[in-house]
Amino acid sequence: MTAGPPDFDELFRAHYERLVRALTLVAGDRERAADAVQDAFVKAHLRWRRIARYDDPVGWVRRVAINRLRDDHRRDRRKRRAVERLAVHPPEMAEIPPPDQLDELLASLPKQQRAAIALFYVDGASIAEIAETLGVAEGTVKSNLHDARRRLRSVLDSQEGSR
Amino acid sequence: MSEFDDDLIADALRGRAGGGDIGVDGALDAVIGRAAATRRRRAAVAGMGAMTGVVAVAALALAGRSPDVVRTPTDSGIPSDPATSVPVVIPDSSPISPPPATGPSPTSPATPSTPPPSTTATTATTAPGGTAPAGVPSPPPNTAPGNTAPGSTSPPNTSPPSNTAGSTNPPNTTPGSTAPPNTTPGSTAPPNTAPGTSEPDEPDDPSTPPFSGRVYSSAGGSITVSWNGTSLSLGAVNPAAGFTSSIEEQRSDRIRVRFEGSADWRIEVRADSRGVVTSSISS
Repeated sequence: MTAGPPDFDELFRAHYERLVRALTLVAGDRERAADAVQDAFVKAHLRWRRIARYDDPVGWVRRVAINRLRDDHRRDRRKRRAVERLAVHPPEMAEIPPPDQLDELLASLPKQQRAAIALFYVDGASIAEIAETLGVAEGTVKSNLHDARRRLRSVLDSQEGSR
Repeated sequence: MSEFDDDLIADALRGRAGGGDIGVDGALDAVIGRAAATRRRRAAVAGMGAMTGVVAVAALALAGRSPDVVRTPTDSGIPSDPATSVPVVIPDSSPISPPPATGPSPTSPATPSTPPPSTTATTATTAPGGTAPAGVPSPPPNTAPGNTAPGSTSPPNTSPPSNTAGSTNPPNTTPGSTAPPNTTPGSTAPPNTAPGTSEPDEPDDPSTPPFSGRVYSSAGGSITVSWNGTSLSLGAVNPAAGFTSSIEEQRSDRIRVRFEGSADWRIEVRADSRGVVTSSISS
């Protein structure tokens, strides 16, 4: 018995929350991550008759969401540079709790490493899926995971030791 | 199982990814609503595009029908609609070729053919010469040999009426016989069955119109005869010098006068049952 094309609602319910959590690590903002994932699912819904026949419809949604975050990041960077050139001070942000070591480490990780560990540890994607999503080779994904894991492990081990 | 699996890191990252509930159902409704709105927007754009295309095509079609653009139905291959077609203006200098002649003689002028030459002098009339204006369709040509119009090359119809009334009297024709009949007393009778003329067809109405005071002349004298359409009447008899006249016969259908002198001359005018008046002069 061959399974038919997946139902959109089922796919959404099965993957939306995990994708949002993973991309929250990548974007550093849940709302932004949720917007990116929802945009990806809207596009999938508009093309669902074709995408449903893909081998990995979720991989398509994941890739679209990541690209959306990349576009947002580029737009933010241009905006930030424009503000710096105009020497305009950004409005005061709401007070946020001071970041701990793990937050600082995650913020300091290269974006590709951060995306790789987010998709691997939070979304549960495989190395091949991450490579396809990020548009890099699987060896690159493994290298990124190895470096990020080593640095995260050192921070977490130090936190565990301090307790 | 992968070499990178690490529960400690996974738990730490999931905790940083944000706890709490993520409204999946609400998100699903939002996604489906946004997708529907996108579809409606695309449909509206497509509809506007289609409408714009239709309007553009209609505008082009109307522009193509403007009066300053002259089109013939054959240009577009579309059958002409008499109600909407634009008339084609043809310059005056454009030659108009006449319709192809269907008659046997394409050189026949487009004037009404002359009546067939009558066997009487009075019916030997000719139609005024001239040619029809170009482009005027000629009437059905009369194929009768004797009905060729004036101006044609047919000799019998272009020659003046012969004064030698009767081929048997050529020596007796007078020099003044070229005068039109009925104008001078010396003129001879109009040609009746003049030699050389082709045999006419049977005319529809061969009767001779009434006339009065027509003069028939010979070397021995002349007579004046009138015809009222039904009967002949002798008006005057004028013998030439040295001749005497005698009325041999005077009836409603025949008048015969004899002139006696150095030679005998006889003038006879007849009207047959069809009302055709003929004459003969003999010596």
